Amino acid sequence: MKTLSQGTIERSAESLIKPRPTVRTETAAPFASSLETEDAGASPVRTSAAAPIVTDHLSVWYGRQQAVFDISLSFPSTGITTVIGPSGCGKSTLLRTLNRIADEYEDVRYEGSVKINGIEILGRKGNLEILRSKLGLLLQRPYPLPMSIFDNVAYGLRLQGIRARSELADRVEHYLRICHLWHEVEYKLRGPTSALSVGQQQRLCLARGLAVEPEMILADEATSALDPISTKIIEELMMEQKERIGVIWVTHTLRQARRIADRAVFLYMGKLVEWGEAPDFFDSPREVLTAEYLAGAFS
Amino acid sequence: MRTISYIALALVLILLISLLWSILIRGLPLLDWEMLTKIPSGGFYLGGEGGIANAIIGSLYLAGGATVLGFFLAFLAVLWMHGGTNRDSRARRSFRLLATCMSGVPTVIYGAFAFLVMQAAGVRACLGAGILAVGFFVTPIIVRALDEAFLAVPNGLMESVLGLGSNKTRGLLTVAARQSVGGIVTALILGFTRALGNSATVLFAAGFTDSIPDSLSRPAASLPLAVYFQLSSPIEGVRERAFAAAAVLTVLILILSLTARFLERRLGRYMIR
Repeated sequence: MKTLSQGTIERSAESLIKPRPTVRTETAAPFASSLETEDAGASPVRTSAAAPIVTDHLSVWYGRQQAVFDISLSFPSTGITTVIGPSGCGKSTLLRTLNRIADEYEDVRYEGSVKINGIEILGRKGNLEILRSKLGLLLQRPYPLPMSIFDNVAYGLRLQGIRARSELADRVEHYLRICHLWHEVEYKLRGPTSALSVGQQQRLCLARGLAVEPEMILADEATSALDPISTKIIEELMMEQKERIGVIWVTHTLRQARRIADRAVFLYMGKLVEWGEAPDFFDSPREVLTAEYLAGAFS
Repeated sequence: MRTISYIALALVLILLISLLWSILIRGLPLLDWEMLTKIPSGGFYLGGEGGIANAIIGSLYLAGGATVLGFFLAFLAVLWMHGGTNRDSRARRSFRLLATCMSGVPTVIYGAFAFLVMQAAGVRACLGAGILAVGFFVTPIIVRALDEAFLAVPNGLMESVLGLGSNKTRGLLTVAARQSVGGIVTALILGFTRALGNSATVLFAAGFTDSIPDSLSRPAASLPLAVYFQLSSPIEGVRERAFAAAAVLTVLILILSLTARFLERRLGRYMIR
């Protein structure tokens, strides 16, 4: 079975993310539940030792305006880390720095370091495509690609060089099933995504992102455009996914953060105020500012 | 305020309808098979036999060639404008301004410039020179139209594609281009119709002839010039016949615009809104 073309392996070898293509070829299963065999037996560890993403004194500027100030954090490889804070506190910038989508904005400048699996990603050009494919991105509202439902999920697979029709079909079905979308779209795979509800579209976007087997999911207020039922479905999907991949979830909604978080990070005006394990963070914050925010003194 | 806008609307409609009416009512009756398929025979411009096939074919050659050339150049330019990172956006903004200014340059300036270049190179007016000159004339127009089409692609869509691990160029070609397919068709048709209606540039660069060009190095006729030459005739009957050529030009552009609308709707099936 051809999971990754030779070309992809060679490209990953020089990539910024530690490549683990061998795992894929060794385990015959096309959809190995986890790429991280070393962690396979262990319970979901949430220590910084297992953290694949570590930021060290990270600062980000847009032109002369600084958006992120000196943030040192680590994100573990499983579980959900929520990033909370008032609007304009640098949550989205932090998220978009991790996969270097922030490069798309005007005059972006980084300082400090972001290491993913021990490899610095803020350096010179490097292979941003592989970096980004390893960090699945889920945005505020669904942005389906302007193509059929099937092609939406197949897009990332085709990028990875999978061309065989039957394999594409198998994988598309697999990821649609993971997102509990298969039975809803089974008979309109070739139809436009506009036939789907916003909630279904967001699940489609999740399926599309999972199809490239990311090692982390970056969710930027991924449910803020959704109705409560769709929100619940997305949250449940993420709870399933977090067992095998890490989720960094920027959210505006405190109640959502409480519901889903294994760990929480509180940013204020671009600065890191506090971070910690979930129940403690919400129940007994150390900082006054955090307590005030959690109590709803400001939002 | 509302009254004023209704009056303005009525004026525009009256103008448009009377324009179409006067051209079609005078031109269509004179359109027969001979007019469409025959080239001018001796003394056509003195009221003799023949038709305007030379101008129809010449115009289609010129506009077709110019649109292909212009679209090719414009598409590459727009890929540059929207590719890469945003860092050098000052260069991008300057280029956009330049294209906007250039799309406002009068056609006769392109004609005069082409004339100077051709004189220096020792080339006589011909189809090839016409296609080049008109191609350069429509390029900035197509650039602006394509640019607007790509600007309308939501940021989130591009972020999504890049997030999947696509590079920028591939994202632009496979996703942004699909999303803006309506705008791309519009840009093509806009370029073609502007090229079709161009008279001053082709006068200098392509010349005018009674025959249908059989190579790029032969001069080519065009519909706007056919209208002009017939209208400037002292003979009443020839002046009347100018409206036949004008009607052909109008109907061509009308058909193209309607085709564009149709294609937009067909190709835009998967567009996200």
